[in-house]
Amino acid sequence: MISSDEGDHEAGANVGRAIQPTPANCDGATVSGTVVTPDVACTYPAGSFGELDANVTGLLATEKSDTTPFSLEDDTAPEFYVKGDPGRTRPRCAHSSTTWPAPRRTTPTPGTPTS
Amino acid sequence: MAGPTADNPYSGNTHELIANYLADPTEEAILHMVDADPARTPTFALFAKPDYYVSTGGTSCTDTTGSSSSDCVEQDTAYAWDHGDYAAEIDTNYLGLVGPGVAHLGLDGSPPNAGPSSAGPLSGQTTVPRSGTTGTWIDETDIRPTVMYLTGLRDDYAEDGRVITEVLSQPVPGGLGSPQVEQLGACYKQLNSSVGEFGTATLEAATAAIESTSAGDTVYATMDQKLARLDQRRDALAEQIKDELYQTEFLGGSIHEPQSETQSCRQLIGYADHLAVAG
Repeated sequence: MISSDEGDHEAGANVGRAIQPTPANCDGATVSGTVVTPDVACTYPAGSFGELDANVTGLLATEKSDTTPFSLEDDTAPEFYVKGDPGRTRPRCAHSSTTWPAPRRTTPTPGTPTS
Repeated sequence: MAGPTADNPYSGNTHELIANYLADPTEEAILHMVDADPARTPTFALFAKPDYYVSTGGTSCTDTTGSSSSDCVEQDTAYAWDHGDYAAEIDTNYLGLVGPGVAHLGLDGSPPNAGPSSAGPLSGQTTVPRSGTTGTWIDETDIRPTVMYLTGLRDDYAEDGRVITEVLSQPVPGGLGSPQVEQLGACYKQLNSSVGEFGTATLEAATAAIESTSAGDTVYATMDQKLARLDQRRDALAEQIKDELYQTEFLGGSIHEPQSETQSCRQLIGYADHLAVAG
């Protein structure tokens, strides 16, 4: 049995993104069936590679004037623990989470709505 | 209200929202993030766009993306392979099986160059159900019961996963390999996996509700109640299905009404999908 625990997202320049590695025809490798062959290597100019480390404390304070105290498990999917463990409908708690709007879904997936 | 944003050199977007999804404790329960200790339940979980790694810092920073620690968002060239998030290329994986009892099927599903990746303008923004992969849909909880079955062993508890009957070379007992039971098993995956259709749709619905700004938080409270009830119904049906699968796989039982259970399963997924679209 062979597998991996999870996949990765590459935080950097890539084909089809706003910035791309060089040379323009780089592909790293070619894949034919089950055969992977090294091909044109990619290089990444300065500023085109690396995850974007977001200081959430600073962003909330700077952009939202929100200084609600919390602890955090650092991650791409961080878990927030608001100090004092307020209920989810307490105004300050609700404010902390609603300062993080995300894109809305606009197209349905297959399924059978029942109500 | 605009949310915390950053300039992203890879997407080319200025002031893009960092968050993709949000989960409160109700949605966290649906995603299997809640255990018996309430002190461990996060107030909320944020699923960022996967170019970002989120951490705490000082309250004073410059609202820019750059290479300085004084920037609110700093490009860190030492790390570029992000995981542990919701994104199709992270949550889609492969499994290779070979050995006695395993059929010689070759590749069952999308080839390596056709699965979800970080390339393209929608990099990191595709959901697992909409990623377009093909082949038998399994998740990691299915590996253990499959290996146990192949080795003739069994656990003394019902597994969260199912035996992947689609890859077995020998007939399986209790009708496990019948199209009806395999359809039930496939629906069970979409119902109970955190990145299946049900988990994805409820995460989208929860995100929209948490973001809502209605007076008295009525939109949020109403959706929270709907999701809590849906979670209870999901847990009950998933428990029933996995118990029956375990009984059939390892204890000589059988599944009596797979088509009826599949129909109930699809109804719950359909309702979750409806909540994601219509609220």
